[in-house]
Amino acid sequence: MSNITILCVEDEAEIRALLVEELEDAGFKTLQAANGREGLETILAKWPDIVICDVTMPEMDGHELLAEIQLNHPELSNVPFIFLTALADKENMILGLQSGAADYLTKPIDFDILLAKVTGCITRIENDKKTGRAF
Amino acid sequence: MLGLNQSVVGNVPCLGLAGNEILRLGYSDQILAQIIPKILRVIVETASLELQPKGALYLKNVASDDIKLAGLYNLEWSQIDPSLQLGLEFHLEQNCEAETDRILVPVISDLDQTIGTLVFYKSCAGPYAHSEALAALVREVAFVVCAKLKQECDQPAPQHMLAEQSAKNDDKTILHDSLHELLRTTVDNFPGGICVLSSDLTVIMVNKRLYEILDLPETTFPVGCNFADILRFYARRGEYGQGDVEELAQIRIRHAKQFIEDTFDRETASGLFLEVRTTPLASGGCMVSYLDITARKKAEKELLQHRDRLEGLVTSRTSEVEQQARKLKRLLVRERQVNKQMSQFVATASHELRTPLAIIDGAAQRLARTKSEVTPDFISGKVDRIRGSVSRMVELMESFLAFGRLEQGLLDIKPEALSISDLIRHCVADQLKVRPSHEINLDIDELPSLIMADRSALQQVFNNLLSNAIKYAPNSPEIFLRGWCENNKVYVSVRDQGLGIDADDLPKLFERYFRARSSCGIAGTGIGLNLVQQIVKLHGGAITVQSEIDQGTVFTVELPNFVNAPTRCKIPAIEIA
Repeated sequence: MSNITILCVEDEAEIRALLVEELEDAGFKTLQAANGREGLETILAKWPDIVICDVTMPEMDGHELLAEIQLNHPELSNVPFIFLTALADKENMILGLQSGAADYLTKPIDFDILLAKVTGCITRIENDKKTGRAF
Repeated sequence: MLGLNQSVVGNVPCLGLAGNEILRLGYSDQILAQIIPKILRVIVETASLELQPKGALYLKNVASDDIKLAGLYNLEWSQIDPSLQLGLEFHLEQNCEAETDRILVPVISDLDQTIGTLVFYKSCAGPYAHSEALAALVREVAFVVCAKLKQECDQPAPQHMLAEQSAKNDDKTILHDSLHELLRTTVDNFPGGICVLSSDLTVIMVNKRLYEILDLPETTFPVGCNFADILRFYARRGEYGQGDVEELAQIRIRHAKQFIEDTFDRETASGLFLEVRTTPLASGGCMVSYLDITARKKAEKELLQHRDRLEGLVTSRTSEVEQQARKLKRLLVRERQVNKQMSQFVATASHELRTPLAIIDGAAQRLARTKSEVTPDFISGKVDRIRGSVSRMVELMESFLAFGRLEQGLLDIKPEALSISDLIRHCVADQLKVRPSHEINLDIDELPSLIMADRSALQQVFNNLLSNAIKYAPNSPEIFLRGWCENNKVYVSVRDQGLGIDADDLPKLFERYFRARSSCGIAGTGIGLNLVQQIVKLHGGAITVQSEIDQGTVFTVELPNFVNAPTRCKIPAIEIA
């Protein structure tokens, strides 16, 4: 069992459930949030290792959440932030990546690819820890 | 080769005559010196004899056969070449060393005798290109001088006496009289009326045209009369409008006595337009001239009318064009809005389809990938999700299709007798399958057993209202659906306790593609409520909304109790925005 914790921020409960199921099956610990505001609270309280986040959500959307972290919580800006969204247009993709997202994935998502991205992030985190670049 | 020929020479006999007269009258050198240069200047300058043209006139004394220099222009007496051989034929003498050419023009009298020579000097050696113009001008100017001199000759005794006096070398008198005569001729030939007034307004010179143009009796106002009397006569005749005659006249008399330079237009009682010009004279008094400018005024007036008409036309056309431009601009703005909304719709529609697709794909992948034991519950759970998402997509597709048909005016309503309660229960069940997160409380016992409605259209209405209620109340899982009858009408309300809608968004809520501000972050296409409203209207009903931010929203559908509608109704195409 890995001790990596991944936060899933997703307003569609069914998608969230499938994601959590897949990630836990792959051996990760998971946290859940139904919108950006809940996501922010969870990030601040639990310090997950990776965040997988939808864009279109009520109360606070994914772009707003990432901007909030970058602006007001720089200590958390190293946490890899992967967008997973149905918004497949170029503008949103550019906006997301410019804001500092580690990746921008579109729905529907192949779980193999999602896991590969997550693994890539973990490798970087581990390396950063070894070289003392993070935390 | 010289440009002038013999025929041109033959065209200038008048100057010969003038020369004859000059010699016959025995004008002194002094007078010749005054008159001849003027003639030559006009000829030489206008004949384009290049820069600094020079000229001289030689005349032969008929009696003595001597050749006498009669006048010069731009030349000093001392500059005359004494050795000049005056040819009696027209020719060009080129003098390349001095870079000066001489054109010699014989002067021929009425009797075909050569009586003198005109000599022109031009500055550049070479052919002369203006021979025709020179000939014409020589003729023209010579004619004027000649006519004047001839008139002098033809005058009766006093004039001859003057001429005789001039023979006594009374140059001044001759000059004065010749000038007076020149003036007389000019005045008589002036196209307008002229009168010269002395300082006490006595008329000292008039021309015939004045009597014509002012419509004055010549006998009543001869030379020597007073101009004030003319003005009084005019005032009496009503030329200056209504009023006291003397007063009207006095105004004009005072004005005339000012002897100032002035020009004004005046309309006479007979309808003529006159341009009146007063010019003060050095000796006191003034000259008054009257020009008939009726034709010009008429043309001006027509021109003004024409201009006004054109201006009016331009103004009205401009405003027409501006109006059209404004209309076009409005249409363009609308068109842009619609275009923007359309592309926005396409983007959100694709987003709306991706979400259930993601659920289907995710569930299918999970079925294949699960590492734990595959239980029947696990399989049925995934299958339910897949089927629920498929229904959601079908719902979406139907809504798009209905909307498309609505756009094209092809949405058909086929009313049938149906149980509205059953239809609502069916919709609620469908919604709960797709969106199990919420709970829908039903209170529909008061609804009638049957109404006339289009089944699938009405299903779209309730599916839309219910899915909206769930979607826009993510944190309030209770939805209330109530149905009742009132005043022979059927009412169904769907209430949520969700986000609510801003008051100023409410009027626009049923507009196509409109999305309320509070829907921000929640997926949606903006066509659902528009479709709902159109369908309800097609059933002869109405839909209303009440909402409060953070409290929730109530949509109420009103339908006729029993629609005795035609079995099929079709609406015309709805005008785009």
